Amino acid sequence: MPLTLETDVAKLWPAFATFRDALLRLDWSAARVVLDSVTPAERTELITLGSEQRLSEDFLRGLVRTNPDDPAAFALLGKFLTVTGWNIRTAARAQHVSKDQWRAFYHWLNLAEQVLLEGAARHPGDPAIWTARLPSARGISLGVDEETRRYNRLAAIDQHHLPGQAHHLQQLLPKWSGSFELAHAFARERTAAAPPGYPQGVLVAEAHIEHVLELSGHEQRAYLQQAGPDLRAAADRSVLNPGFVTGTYAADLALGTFAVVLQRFGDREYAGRVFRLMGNRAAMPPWDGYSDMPSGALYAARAWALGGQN
Amino acid sequence: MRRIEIDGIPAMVGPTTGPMHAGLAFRVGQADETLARRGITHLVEHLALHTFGVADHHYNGTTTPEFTYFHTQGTADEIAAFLAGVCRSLRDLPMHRLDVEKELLRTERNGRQGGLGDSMALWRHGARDYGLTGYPEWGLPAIGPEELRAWVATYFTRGNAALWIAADDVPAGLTLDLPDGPSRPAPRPSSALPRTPAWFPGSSGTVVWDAVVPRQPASGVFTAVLERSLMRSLRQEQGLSYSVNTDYDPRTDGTALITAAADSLPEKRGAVLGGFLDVLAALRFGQVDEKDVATVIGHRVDELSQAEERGGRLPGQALNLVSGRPVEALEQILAEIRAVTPERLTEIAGQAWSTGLLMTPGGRSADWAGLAAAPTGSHAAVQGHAHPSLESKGARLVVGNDGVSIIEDTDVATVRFDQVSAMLAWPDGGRFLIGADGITLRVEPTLYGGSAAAIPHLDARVPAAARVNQPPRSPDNLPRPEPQAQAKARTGRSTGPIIMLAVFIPLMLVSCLLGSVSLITMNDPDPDVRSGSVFLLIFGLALTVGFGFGIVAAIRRLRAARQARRS
Repeated sequence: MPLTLETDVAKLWPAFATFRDALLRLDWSAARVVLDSVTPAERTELITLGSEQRLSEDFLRGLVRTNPDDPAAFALLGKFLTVTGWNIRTAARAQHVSKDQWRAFYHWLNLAEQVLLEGAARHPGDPAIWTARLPSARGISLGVDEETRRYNRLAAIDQHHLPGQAHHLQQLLPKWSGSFELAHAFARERTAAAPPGYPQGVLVAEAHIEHVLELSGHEQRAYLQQAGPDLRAAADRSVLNPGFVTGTYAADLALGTFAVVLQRFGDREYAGRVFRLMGNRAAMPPWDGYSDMPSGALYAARAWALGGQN
Repeated sequence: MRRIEIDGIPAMVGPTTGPMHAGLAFRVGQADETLARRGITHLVEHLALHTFGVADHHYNGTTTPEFTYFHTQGTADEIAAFLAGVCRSLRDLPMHRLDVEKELLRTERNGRQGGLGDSMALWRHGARDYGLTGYPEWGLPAIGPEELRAWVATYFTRGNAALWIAADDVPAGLTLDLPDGPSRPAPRPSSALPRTPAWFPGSSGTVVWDAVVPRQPASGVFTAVLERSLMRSLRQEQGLSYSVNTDYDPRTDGTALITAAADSLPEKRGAVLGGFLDVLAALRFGQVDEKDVATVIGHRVDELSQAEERGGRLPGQALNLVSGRPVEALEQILAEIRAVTPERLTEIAGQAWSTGLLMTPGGRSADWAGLAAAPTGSHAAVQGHAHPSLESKGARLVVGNDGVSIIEDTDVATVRFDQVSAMLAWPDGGRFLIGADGITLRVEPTLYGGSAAAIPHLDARVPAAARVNQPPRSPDNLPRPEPQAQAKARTGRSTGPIIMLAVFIPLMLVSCLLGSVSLITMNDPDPDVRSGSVFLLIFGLALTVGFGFGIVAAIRRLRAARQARRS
């Protein structure tokens, strides 16, 4: 197998490159062509990735003003304002966020909320808008019930909308006023509800890794042993199922997440199977959240999992 | 339906397929009162009806923010006798009944008018004109015979009255002997909201919203469409609310107040708020369901046509007469209702949103949705002598030449002497001041060092007309400082009544709904003229009054405490 992994999202997902370039040259028509050519979940993912670019708020506000009939414009602006707020807040735990950071965070998320309130009102059936309304609700603490209401609205539109499910899983975790019971139950339930070969099993993997990270060393060992079969079952049903389609960025993300979690669980056999499926494609976000040196962690995990058999 | 004049009083007369009914209306209500004489109109209404005792026929009196009316149902003779009797009583109120009727009002506590939106009125307008419905009848102890006679002479006159009679003919021998006097337009609604749309924190699970819109048939249709949208979204689709209510309340100044409310379980308060705001947004951004509009128009047309047959539109038209508004012909109203389009409702939804006031459930914020927080304190404190709190370090009472302030951390509450709506005064020196903007101050000599000496200074500067003396308090009931207690403990004292609010508001909503259905026997809902809201919603109100004001005051204090803790 090749030694060099492709980790550049623009290479892994050419549609993203086209979309990003169109946005950066302020060509909304071209950006829309890309959005209209992908699946609803990919469209949401593209809008998320797009919102993380260096965009102009004026440009996006102009889009919404001149295209009130375009739900993607609302989703992108709402997401952009949310990301701007989160970047100021940082991902630190609440107690490590300064007063000024909080103030700016609320300011930007409130702006996002108002854009998305209008967007959802005008386009109640748009999954990207409802997905964008999840992290904004969580960020400004509108409550598990309100975030869940929004998730339910999303699920009524697309019951297997993984980007939204991943956000909702975060809200259900104890760090966002949920509980591990709620989070595991949701992850299992959505995995079981999705047809075999759908990537939803990553929800189970994410719930487990979040749980493990909250435990002390002694508890961790017991947990890894006890939850191992559940993790394998989730992998079997999703990324390791014969129906799972590789070669898309969404598949790369799902495989990467499983690779991270299986490695943490010490499950060399399953990790090896996942890495083999990945081939030379490797989406970085799962590794970004796991290590300060994500690239190093990726290569090390891969080497361990494949036991030197490149 | 025709317009005539009886003894110089304009009257609407029209046939009815049901029992004969009639009423005499005056353009005076709670909005004309002051907080320090709150209840005077209701007291007049009670005294005027006293002479009828236990009559065989149905009769009643009603006091609303803008009107007071006496109505009855019976034979022609009974109606003539009732109306003449009311006029006779108004000319010579049975003052020997004064103390008993005051006691009745105090006991029954059914003086508050409104329904869904009592605390809304207080937050929107303050402790004056249209905000007064949010307060108890605090003026009763201070009202004497002279004041009553002056009130009657000002408002219960020939020039400020109108009549309706649902019958083929005017009852034979009907005479209405009232003193002369000019018509009295309703006061202009004042505002305690620097910016709208605005919100304030409620403490129950109920979200309540009100808004000022143009008074026209389309606004009534909008209200009904809003209720259908809320019901469908919050109850049927999302299972967040059990009870959803709206109210359309036209006013004499050409506006109407829309009120909408939805309840929720404690664990669904955030969701019901979000879902409620989503429905409002959907309507103002053009998602008005055409089928809803068609259904509502159909209902309205039916209701109005049936009301016309029973004489149910007559009371509303009489109120139009007494407030100097044109009488509305049925055909014209029906044509306007039929012409309502979804686009027009979207416009009204936009107007409504921009003037809206929202009471959030469970103390939640609504700034994220673009609403401004309604003021919970004052901009500035007065200059004067400071008396330290014996409870809370750093907190102080300041008594100056211009007013009184209480300062705690960054929270300031000020009532200026020239803006006192009422001051309740206890013999022990305790004073409760309510400013025109609704800000309240409790001045307790036992809680602020050296403040007993400041009470005479304060008493000398508060206008005498604003003072309402209270009966002595038992020494056991005097507040005592709790120096160890921190903000938490003080807040805890306030939450007692707030928990009661959580229980009674949903109860009240249901009761009001029932009340408005069961009590409208003579006046069918009329979307443009008068809805059922003009009738006393006795069930809901009787429940609310016992606790009402304490809660409102507590909410404001609680809000201040929460803010202090958050920062």
